[in-house]
Amino acid sequence: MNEHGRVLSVPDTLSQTPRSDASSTRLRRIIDERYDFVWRAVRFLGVPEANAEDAAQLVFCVVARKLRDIAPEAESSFLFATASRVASEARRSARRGLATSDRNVDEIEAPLPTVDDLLDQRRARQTLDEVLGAMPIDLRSVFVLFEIEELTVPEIATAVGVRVGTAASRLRRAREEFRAILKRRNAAQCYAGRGGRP
Amino acid sequence: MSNPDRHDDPSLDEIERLLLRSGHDCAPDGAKQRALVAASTVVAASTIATGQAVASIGIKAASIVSGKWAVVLCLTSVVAASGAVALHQLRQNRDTHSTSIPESPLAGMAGDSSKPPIPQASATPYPEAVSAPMLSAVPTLSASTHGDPVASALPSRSSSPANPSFSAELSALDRARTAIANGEAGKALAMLDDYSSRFPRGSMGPEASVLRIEALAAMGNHSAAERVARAFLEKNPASPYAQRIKSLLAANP
Repeated sequence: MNEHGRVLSVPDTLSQTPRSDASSTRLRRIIDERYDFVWRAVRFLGVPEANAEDAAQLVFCVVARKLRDIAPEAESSFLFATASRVASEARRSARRGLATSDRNVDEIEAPLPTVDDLLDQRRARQTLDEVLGAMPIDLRSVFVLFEIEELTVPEIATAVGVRVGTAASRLRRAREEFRAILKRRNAAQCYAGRGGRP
Repeated sequence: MSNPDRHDDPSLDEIERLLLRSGHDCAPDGAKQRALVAASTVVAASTIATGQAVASIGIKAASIVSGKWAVVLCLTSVVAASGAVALHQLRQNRDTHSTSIPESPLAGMAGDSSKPPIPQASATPYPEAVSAPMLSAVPTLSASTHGDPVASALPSRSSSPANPSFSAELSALDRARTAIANGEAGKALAMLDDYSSRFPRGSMGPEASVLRIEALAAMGNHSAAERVARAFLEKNPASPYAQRIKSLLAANP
């Protein structure tokens, strides 16, 4: 991506350090292009929305530190791998601490909201979080990368660090699992008579 | 979703479509800019860390570091100059038409002394790729609604122009930075004093402290630089600046 003309011009003080100059430009490009991807990734991986920005920022701080070690073609996988580690640490901390944001397994089988309810973006997003939260993290990762981030299976394999065959198999199981959770929750909805369909 | 096995229940197809669509949401306004500032700080610092044997050259490193820190402030200024107004508008838009997104609990936290203590980095085993100061912020990545130490480590969200003095703060600090760069450390200190009195709860407090340390070091007042540095570290152990300041302290025990 051409950085010329970008508002964030390189400060004069950097002109004496070409490597730093290039690093800054690259860092800006990565953040500019991939911020939302990382922000969503940490959320999908269990970081509550209120903390997603901080987690994403941590990811990019790691990127900044390791910039010279990241091959250009490996940026996506590095970003996702780092997001996974940051999110994993956040989940561990949440379990250690008082927070229970990702421990809503008991609530997962609660009735699914109706289609009308899900037209509300907020409600839909919350439900998506719940359903994803009920999926094992390895399945969840490939699922969101495929269904939401629209990566190809080989790209997913690189991003999560597994073979293509493994990624494909996880994706298949992930889709089955996602569907199964929806079915169970939809059945609960019908049972509860909350406007469910026959 | 054209998967044949998905037609067993059309309503599920629709639900699935709505759920997946909801997953395409974007980060809140300004988040990207804040990440840029935070990460730029780190890239500046790590360039020095790898390029210079800071610990062996003592407080003189401050003059080298200062250039890079100045870059951070520079970047901050540019971000602010180009983004402050837009950010303000975006935030206002967000607040008015998107009530579904709760205001961050961190907003307005700069200078908030009621923050919970920050856990020690040692409590967070982690790949070496992540530095301890940053990591130490992670353990509170939970559904906290009453403050988050991460805030102290990163560009404050109170820099959102809910605080209209943000650009004034930036230009004040930019003048101090310029003074240091021109070898007028004394003048810079006076400007920083002025900054502190004008913005006692300013959102650029950490940056001001870093400049103060730098100015004191540039004047050869190492004991004062160290005093300010230690106070800063005590208050902001998870700050992106912490590592640099620690390096300086380590070089001048």
